[in-house]
Amino acid sequence: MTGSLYKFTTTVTKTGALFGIVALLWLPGLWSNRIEAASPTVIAGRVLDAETGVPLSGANIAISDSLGTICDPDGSFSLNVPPGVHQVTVSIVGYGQTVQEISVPDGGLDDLVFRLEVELLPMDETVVGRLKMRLPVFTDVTREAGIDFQHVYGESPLRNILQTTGSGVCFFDYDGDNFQDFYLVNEGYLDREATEQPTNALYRNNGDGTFTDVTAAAGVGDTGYGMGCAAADYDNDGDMDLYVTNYGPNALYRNEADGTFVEVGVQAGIADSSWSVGTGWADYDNDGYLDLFVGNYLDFELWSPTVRNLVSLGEGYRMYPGPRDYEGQPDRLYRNSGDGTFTDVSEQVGLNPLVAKAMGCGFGDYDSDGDMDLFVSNDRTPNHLYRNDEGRFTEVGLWAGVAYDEAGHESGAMSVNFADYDNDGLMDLFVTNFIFEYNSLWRYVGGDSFVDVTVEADLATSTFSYVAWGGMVFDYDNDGYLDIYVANGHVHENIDVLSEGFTFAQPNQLFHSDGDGTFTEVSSRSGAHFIDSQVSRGVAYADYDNDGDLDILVNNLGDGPNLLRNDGGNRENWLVVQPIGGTSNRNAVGARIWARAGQLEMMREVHSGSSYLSQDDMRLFFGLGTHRRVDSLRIRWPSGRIDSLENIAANRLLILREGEGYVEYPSLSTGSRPN
Amino acid sequence: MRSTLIAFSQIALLVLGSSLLSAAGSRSLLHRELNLAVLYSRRDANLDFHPAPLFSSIGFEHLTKFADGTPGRLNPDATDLYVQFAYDPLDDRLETRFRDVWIRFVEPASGFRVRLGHFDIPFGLNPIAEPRGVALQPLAFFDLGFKKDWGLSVQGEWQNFGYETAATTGMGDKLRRRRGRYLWTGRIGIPTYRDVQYGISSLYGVLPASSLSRELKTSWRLSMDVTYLYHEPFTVARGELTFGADDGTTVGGFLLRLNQIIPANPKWAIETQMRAWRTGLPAAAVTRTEGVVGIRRALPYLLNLRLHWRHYFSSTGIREDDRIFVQIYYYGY
Repeated sequence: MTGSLYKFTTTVTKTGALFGIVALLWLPGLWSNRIEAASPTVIAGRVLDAETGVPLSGANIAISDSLGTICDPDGSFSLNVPPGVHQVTVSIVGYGQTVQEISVPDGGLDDLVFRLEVELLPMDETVVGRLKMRLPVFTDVTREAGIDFQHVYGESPLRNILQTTGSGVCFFDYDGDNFQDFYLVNEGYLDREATEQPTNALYRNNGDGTFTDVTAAAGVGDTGYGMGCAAADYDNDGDMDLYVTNYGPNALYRNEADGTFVEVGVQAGIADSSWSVGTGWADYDNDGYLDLFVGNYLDFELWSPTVRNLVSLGEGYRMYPGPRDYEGQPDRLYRNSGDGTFTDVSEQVGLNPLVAKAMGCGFGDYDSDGDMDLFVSNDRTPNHLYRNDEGRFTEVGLWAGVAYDEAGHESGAMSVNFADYDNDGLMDLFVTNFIFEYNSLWRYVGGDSFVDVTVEADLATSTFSYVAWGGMVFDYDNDGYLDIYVANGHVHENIDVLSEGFTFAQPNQLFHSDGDGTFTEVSSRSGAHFIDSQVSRGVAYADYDNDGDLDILVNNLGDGPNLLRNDGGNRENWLVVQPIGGTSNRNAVGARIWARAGQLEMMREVHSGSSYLSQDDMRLFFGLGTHRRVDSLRIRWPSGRIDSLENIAANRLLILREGEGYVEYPSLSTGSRPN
Repeated sequence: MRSTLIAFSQIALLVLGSSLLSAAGSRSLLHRELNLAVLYSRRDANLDFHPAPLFSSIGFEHLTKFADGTPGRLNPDATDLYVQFAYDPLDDRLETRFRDVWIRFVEPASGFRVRLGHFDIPFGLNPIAEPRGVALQPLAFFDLGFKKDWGLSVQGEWQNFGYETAATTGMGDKLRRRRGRYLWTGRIGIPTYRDVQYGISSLYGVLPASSLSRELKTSWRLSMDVTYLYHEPFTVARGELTFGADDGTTVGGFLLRLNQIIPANPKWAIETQMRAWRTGLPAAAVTRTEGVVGIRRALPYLLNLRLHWRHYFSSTGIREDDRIFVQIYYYGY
């Protein structure tokens, strides 16, 4: 009996244990099945910077290891979850992680707001040059952004200097939605009718990281053999107009404020039919209307015999004639009459008869006397620096030390950038050059004098072996110091047959400012774009996604463009300032702004037309590093008026109106229009 | 007739080869060339319409550049076919002259290149991108009688220097190989894109004792060359110093060249050159010395007009002479 009882008890115990084990094994599955069986509900909300309220694009929302999502560019998210209590983890690089418990009712939640505090992560820092930092990278998002533009120079191979010269790109907000649109200039076929030519292209920024080709609808599909462009509100009517330079008549597109443009170049008197290249707008006489400079290149006739000399071509070289084989053409300065027409005042103001071979141009008040001076980069002829003396220009390039390169040669100068690279409050000059001539960084030292500091800035050796075109001086990592981007590409398709190790397609370059007047090339660690090779020409920067850092658009010869999104530049603080003129020209071209944040002092100036055949975002970008506020900000308007502001919170758009005050936009991403 | 057929067959093969390789996204350029030259000799008092080595000729050059290849292995990089057709009054026939005929392979990551065909041997002065139709001849023409040869070369970079070495047949510009000839050449120097370039080169081989001889000689050479570019391409100064031996007989020579484009009028250029070669040093058995002073004028339609006065100095076996050389040259698309 005892034995039977023992056997029974043992059997029950074993059976119970077995049941228990099976039940335990099944238990999670039962729970899981029960969750899946329940109807999911939607939770939605936004993730914001706790201090500034800026949406945090890309923030991670995690319910569990397998359930989560990432915030959209406007910081919003939505997620299907079952009703009940959940623990939500919200995180993004640069901010402290937050964990909250939420109770999700059957109807879901749509008003969740998570606010994250800035917190630098205790990660190892990348050491670049003398700076420790985490470097942003540029991601090529051309395809994802919906850009299918194709640059065409004609039938391959390149057969003349015309084909290899273009083209540029312009960032501007044509529809006033506060998102930067862009215009890509195209060349075309040399032996085809206008109806068979590819057109330039206007891409509208949809505000969500994508673009739509609106060329036809906007009426800006110029079929001229295109070179450059510059956008500005020349008629002060509140919208951005567009000027396009061509080999042949140039075009002026007047914005009709309804999403369309009308070509009025001939009526306005600025349909210059020379071979025009670089162009830019500035109010040289400070009358409140933007005037136009047009740089003209060579007296080149496509079907006529080559007017040839021995300098660039020698004899029997297996290359087409170069810039020395043609005469130059005179540049033009057109004064805006204020009634929609322009008058050629080139000779009247002192520009002619200085005939050279212009490529790029840039206005900038280098002598800080309140009027816009002009630098014209010339190809194989001395550069011109025109000092503006109350509306009369004096050419001082030779005396200023910027007419020739440091070896005394007329360089193959391309792009022009006036910028204060060393934060000393003075306007310096950066110019790109041809191969075997390093790019030139000239530091302004007062009076009419610049000093070539390219070698001291560590920019010489690394740029010697490239044909440099577009150049940008911009603060891509928001540390308060201006960095440099250079777009490269040779002019001869077969150069790699004929020479030692030089190629037609060449890698573009990025140089990070070390903050002490020197630069470190960071191309190899800044994204795949810098490893691949392109035949690049025009380049411009803009914060197209309004996330607080500067993105890049490159126009490539005979190829598609590169839209490079800056990922990580906004880890540092920033301030964007958009001045709007009242008495001054509406774009406030020539307005100068000084900003101070802690020990950081910066100076920026509004320009139209820069780099090579291109135009950057006209808003002024101040990288603030770790500073969360701008202590003081001072603006000198072209009219001479000076306004001051103090204690401005970072990471926002500040719209300054001459004589009226300012408006702050905590978030750039709202897409709202500053009226 | 036979050599002409051989020449055209080789051209056809090269063009066909280029076309086949072109399928992989290549680019090509076709240049046309016309060279009309005449030489007047004061000593002989006659006009020569076929002055060597720049015979009056028509020609073409077909360059092909292939798409970028795969790193880690040799990929077809480029081909060049540069051919001239000249009338040879001695044989009263049309002569086919191969100038450049080569295919090049490259390893893209390192830039290491292998070239096969007819090309400039890496010895002495070599320009970065040899212009066509140049009337000033290299020192090698006094020495070897040729500057281009058939064979194989490898090119690369070593630290801050560029090097090239070639194993060639010693045929020079001829199409038929003679038994027993071969040539090895090599040069290392500063890359040719620098303003100041210098290099050393060497040569060893078995070559004909003279251009008309079937006898062979064993030769070696050492050479130093330097180039100075001032405000390139306005001023180009070049020098080359070579010495060596042919079957134990010491030989040597030098070349000095100064080309100056007139800055105020760049359609004009001045060309000067002095070159000398001695066989048998220190007591020269044969000496050839030539001085050239000339001008060049660029004309429309990609034409160049050249006028040279050449002076040949009197030496053993060579009588003094003054010659006037006139050339009209076209090279274009």
